[in-house]
Amino acid sequence: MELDISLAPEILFNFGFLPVTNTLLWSFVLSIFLIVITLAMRFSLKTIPGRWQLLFEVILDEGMKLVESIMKDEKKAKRVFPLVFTMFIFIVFANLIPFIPGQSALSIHTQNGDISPFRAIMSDYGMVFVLTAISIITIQIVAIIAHGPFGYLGKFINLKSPLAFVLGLMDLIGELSKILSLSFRLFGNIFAGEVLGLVMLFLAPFIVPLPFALLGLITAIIQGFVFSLLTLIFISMAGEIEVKEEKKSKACVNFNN
Amino acid sequence: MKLFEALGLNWKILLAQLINFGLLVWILHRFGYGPIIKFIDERRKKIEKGLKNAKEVEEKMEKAKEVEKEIIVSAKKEAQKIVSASTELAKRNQEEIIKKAEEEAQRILDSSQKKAIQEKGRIISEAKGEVAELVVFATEKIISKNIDKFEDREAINELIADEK
Repeated sequence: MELDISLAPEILFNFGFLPVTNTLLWSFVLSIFLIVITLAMRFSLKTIPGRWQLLFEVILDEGMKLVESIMKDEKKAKRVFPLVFTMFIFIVFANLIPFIPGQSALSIHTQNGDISPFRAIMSDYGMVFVLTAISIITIQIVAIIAHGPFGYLGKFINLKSPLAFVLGLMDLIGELSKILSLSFRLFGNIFAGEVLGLVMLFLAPFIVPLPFALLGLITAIIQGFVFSLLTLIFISMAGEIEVKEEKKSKACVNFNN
Repeated sequence: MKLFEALGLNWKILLAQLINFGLLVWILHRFGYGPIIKFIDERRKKIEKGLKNAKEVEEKMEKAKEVEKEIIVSAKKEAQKIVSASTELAKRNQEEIIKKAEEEAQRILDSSQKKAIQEKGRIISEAKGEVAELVVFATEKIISKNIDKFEDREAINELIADEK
């Protein structure tokens, strides 16, 4: 038995010009699964909720409350909620799929060697990168809407004083590092979990991998939560800065008077 | 570029992922969260309304109970009043009736006394007449037939009248 670990997802087949990797395939399947569940829930809504509906409602409602508590504005929260909540359930389910047993037992023979048709979606950096890109772009859009295009640029390129210039540059770097920190946190955790599980399974197939699986289970949910919560906080911060500055300047005016 | 290859980054796949996730967000929002949250909010409003209504009804009921109590109290008072008034009236009536009855009794007594006196007088006068006749008769028998009836009678009558 050999242990092959690759950073890149394996290409299962080509669909037209699109090479379908195992992670892409499963992200499609997961999307359809989530849509089906949500629609099923939506069309079986009852005024007096059953157990499943209640569970669903509680998750949705608590999520909404959390978003509202961080955005501090119901209207904004409603606008951000779909993105953040979809990220959360998508990442959590994507991370939970690998815990359905029996996946590593299957493999497909191709000319490139044996390929497992299953792979944790978030252990594909491409998928994580797409999510991060969406998150970062949303943050920038919110910042631009909140500050105006010139205010947004002025935050990074500030020529008022050398110190302000350096601080602006730091902001720029900080903004760029968000991409890396967000994406590699999720990717690293899940990929490491996968590799760790594989190694443990390779070294000692019985009992020993169980604690690691449990740890992986916790990681799966926490990482989904962390990713979406960080996105939410960044968005909230991006939209808030202007108000803070206004308050500061007002305070200064009051002080001067 | 080597890093991208190692990570398996391929712009076609990235684009596919982006579209996939974008669609997922849109569909879930448009057909999932939106309607479900709306539904939850509506139900929350309905429940709030129901609770409010229940509270209102309770308040109304309490008020109604108070009014009921007031009505009962006032009704009791009224009843008391009526009873006492009627008792008084009855007492007064009773007195009147008794008075009337007594008067009536008195009247009857008076008239009957009067009648009795009259009767007595009549009887006495009648008796006097009869006595006179009897006396005449007896005297006639005792004395003799030749004495004039009428003279004697007059004399006797005078005698009786004197007696009186």
